[in-house]
Amino acid sequence: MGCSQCLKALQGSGPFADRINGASVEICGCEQHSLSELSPGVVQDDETLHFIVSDPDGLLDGRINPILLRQLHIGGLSVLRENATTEEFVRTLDELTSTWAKNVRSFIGVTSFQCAGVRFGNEGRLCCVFDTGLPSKPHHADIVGPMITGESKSAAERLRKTHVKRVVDAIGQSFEAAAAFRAGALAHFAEVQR
Amino acid sequence: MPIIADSTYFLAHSASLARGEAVYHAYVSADRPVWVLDQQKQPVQLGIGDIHQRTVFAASADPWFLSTWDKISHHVGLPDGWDGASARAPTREALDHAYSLAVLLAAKPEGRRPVFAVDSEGRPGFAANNRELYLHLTIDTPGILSWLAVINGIEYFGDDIAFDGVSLPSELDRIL
Repeated sequence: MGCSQCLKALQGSGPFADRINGASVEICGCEQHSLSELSPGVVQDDETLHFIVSDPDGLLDGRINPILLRQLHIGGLSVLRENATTEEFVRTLDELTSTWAKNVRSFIGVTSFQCAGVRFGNEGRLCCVFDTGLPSKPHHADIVGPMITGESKSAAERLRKTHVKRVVDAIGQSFEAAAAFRAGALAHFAEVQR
Repeated sequence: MPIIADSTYFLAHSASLARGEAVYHAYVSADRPVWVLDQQKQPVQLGIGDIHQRTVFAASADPWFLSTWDKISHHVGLPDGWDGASARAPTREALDHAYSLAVLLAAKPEGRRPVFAVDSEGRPGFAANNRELYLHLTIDTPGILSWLAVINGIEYFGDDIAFDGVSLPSELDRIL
């Protein structure tokens, strides 16, 4: 654990992305410090991250729907890290499926990708990845877009949407259906929802 | 003739939906009686608050439209946090504009018709990511759109673009 400013950013009001980005002068500076006593430590570049995908239209031609990535610039995109246990996935899906509005979302599978792919783009840092372990999910992490400022509201919106496209491209098409992911251990969540 | 039956309504608008040889015209209003043409192009009057088969004119032959209409309807009346996290609920006004957009987008060819979704700020939108088109369009506030589209490697961006519910903004119409 370290960096009191980064830890302080976990609390408070306003979007998490604004708080954590504002806690460090360096872009993604808080990545260098573990943000949770429960987590196994900072997220490594070579770790695989898992994003839970919902239907309908969580995926567009195998890639994550950009509309679902708006969270990158607000509350952060929740993922589970490579060493997350199946129980952590089960707890996550228990929580999500109990609160997802009926007919609006259902679980279909998991998209997995390497941390470095979303951390670094061709034009410098793409996203920050923070270890944000939770009591029942120590391998929880948040992906957050770096602070975006434009000369105008319109310029900022363009930068945000362009950034989202770059993240969509970086994550790619590595989707695994519920029936196949971890030998189908989560398949019953997909069946229950349908 | 399928009926999309709930209490939904949308802004007064018109659309010509070309599907094969058939062209349907629909004029629907929530606040005044309107005349519409049915599939046989016979005039039918819809009154204020009338929920009589109001969308079938546009939707009956179009699975994309039916599916999109259903998705929008499922987002009516959602509470905050509907995504299992902290997403805001979309407003009814914003969803009304999504209905209108759906009617207008239904006239676009396959591959250029995006899918409906709502983002974590409660903004309804439409997205596509295929060989022909990348589109990330949001209804930022009712009547105001923004989008990023990429077609053949060329980026098109629109922000703060007014949408009257009657016709697609010309910039958007051109690229789709």
